[in-house]
Amino acid sequence: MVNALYDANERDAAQRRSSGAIGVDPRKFHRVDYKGRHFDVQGPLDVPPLPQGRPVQFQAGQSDPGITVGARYAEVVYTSQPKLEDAIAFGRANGLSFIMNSFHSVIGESDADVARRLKEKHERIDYEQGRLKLADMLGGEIDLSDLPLDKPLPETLLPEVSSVNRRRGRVDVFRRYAQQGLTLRELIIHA
Amino acid sequence: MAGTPEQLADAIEERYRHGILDVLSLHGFGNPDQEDLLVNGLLPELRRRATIDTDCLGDDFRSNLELPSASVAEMRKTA
Repeated sequence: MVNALYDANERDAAQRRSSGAIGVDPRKFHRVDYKGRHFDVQGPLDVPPLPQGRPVQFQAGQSDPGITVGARYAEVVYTSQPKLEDAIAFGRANGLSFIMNSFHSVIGESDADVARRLKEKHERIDYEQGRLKLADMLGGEIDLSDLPLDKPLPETLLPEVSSVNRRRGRVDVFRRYAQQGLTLRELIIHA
Repeated sequence: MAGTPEQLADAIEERYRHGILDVLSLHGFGNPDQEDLLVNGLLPELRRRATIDTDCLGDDFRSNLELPSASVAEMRKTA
């Protein structure tokens, strides 16, 4: 559906004039009228045609249907494997162009500087908010408000990944952290 | 991940060499001091190692990733 919408409009359907205004030629926008089992889509795509035709297509999400769609259509797959060994074991699907990660860093000029920055960052964390955020990362159905910060989470509290119907990849990541014995404080720092 | 520009470049390079990482979004822009260490620390270190290019390859994201840019007509055939 996304491809059909981008392909339908002609490349010169909207052009910037020398005055700076954008000229639009309605005859060069073409309707996509689609009725299917899951989608009803009407009308032309109302964004200016892109120089590259179709935008680079990303897939994110770790559910099985999401991964299947990614393997078929995506040019870049956004994924998260917190441990290098797991990521190497997981590998890359045949023909998949690119794997993308989000790189969150604390950069310092020396080891001591990095340690100081990390310490300051951790001191700024609001752990009461952090309890809520971590509970959300773990599917949102658990209550972490009365647990001690410096002890691991009780195993019985952790939801089964299959029982959560959103952002399962993230639930899985935090479940594994918790099973490794990270304390509530450490988990909140990761969240 | 926390470290000096060299340590972070090591971590990025290791993942790239294992073939499990191609595209990164960097975070920390807007925080002047981290931005400085990203722009003047990490990126030059990655360029020095030839892990990233020194300039953009094309005018749009698709060409910078060296993804095929078929014409709309060609794309229609494969849609």
